Amino acid sequence: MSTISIDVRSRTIPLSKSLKSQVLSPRSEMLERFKKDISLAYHPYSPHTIVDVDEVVIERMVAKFSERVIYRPLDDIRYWDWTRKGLNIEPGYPPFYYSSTKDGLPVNATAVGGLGEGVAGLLAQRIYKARKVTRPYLDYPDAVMECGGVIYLVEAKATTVENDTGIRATAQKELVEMARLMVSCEVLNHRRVRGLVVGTRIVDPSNYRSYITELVA
Amino acid sequence: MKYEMTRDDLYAINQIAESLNSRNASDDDSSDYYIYWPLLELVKTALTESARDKSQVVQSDPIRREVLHDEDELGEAIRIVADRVNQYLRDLDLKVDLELYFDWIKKKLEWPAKTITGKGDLLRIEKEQLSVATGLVINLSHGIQADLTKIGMADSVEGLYLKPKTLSDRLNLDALRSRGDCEVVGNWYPYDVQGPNGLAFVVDDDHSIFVSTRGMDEITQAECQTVLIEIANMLFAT
Repeated sequence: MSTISIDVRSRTIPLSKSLKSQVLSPRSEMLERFKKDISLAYHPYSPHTIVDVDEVVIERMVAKFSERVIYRPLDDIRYWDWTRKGLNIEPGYPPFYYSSTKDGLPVNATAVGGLGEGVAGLLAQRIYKARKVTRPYLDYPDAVMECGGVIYLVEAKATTVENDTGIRATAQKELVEMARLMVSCEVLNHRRVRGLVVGTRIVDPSNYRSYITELVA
Repeated sequence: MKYEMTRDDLYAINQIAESLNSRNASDDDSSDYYIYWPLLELVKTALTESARDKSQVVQSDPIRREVLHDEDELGEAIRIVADRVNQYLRDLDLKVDLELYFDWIKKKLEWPAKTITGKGDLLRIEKEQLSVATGLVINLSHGIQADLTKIGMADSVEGLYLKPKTLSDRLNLDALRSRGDCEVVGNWYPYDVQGPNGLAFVVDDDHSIFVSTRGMDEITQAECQTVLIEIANMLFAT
């Protein structure tokens, strides 16, 4: 099998008492202040590392961290990539072009979502040395992990959209929910907790770019 | 239901114990996520074990198949986990009322349980095509037992998955590194082990080893299984 290269960018945002108070407030102006204080303008991403792994590792991580059974997600991505590059299909084949775009046929959203979860789990293990405690069903977050007594709450997002702006914005929106869950956990327990929101853009079948935001309570 | 303590179970129970030690005893006992999450994983594991057992029963005993439809596997899994966790916590002198957590888990796992145990699709049971693969218990060196599972269809195996049943603290990656035809890639789990003949093994933190056998004929697959067992013997050697 071939290698997939993941270009990882990251940032760390400490959740001060002020930020915790803002994110829990029922007042909309406080929530807006929270969103502004954790924005990309104040907390930009920096290059972190490049993780090169065999495809079989990614498939194994999808099986471990995805909520659904996904059959050969990397093949789905490869096929989608071919349709972007001018895949020849046999004459008479009834193509479902009604949902196609200028960038080719639509990608399998389940495969993309599963790959996002697999990559998030992989990076939580490789970078933070965290071990899976559970993968909740139909619930938030996507994975709960642990390392050295610290609990890691992991939420994954993924896309194949052409530029990085979209996935960064999607990951940014997720920070409110993540911060709220972290504060809720802290009320009853003194264990240290961190939130990892991992947004992954599948650039092509061999190259991914992941944006990790680490919230520290 | 047969259910033996695994390394993952021990890890989850230790997480519960650590969480109990990190909270005020007077606090409410029913809504601590750090107790709920490891318990959830323990019940999921017990359910999966039940499905594996059932899969073997269904294949060997058609009459038993009918009886299985009426069994409350989720309730049974919860009872087994409750007994085990309570016993473990008592030994550590820790007290917690888990009943409300189990109510919470029961609600969350009601529908997934039907999928895991096969109840959500009666037709699939009748056709004896359960989706949970059955494992083969094999004896490795040093007295270690492991489950070896063939993932995929019986005549088109996609991968081999080996997981030790015996509790072990660490893997001997140095032994594997010393093997001339293996390269261990990565600085932490999951390790990517590039073996002979282009075989790629994934060694994970639950001490499982996976190798893809996609597109292999039976002879090549058997050779792959031999290398997998050799690698397992090296990794589990203390």
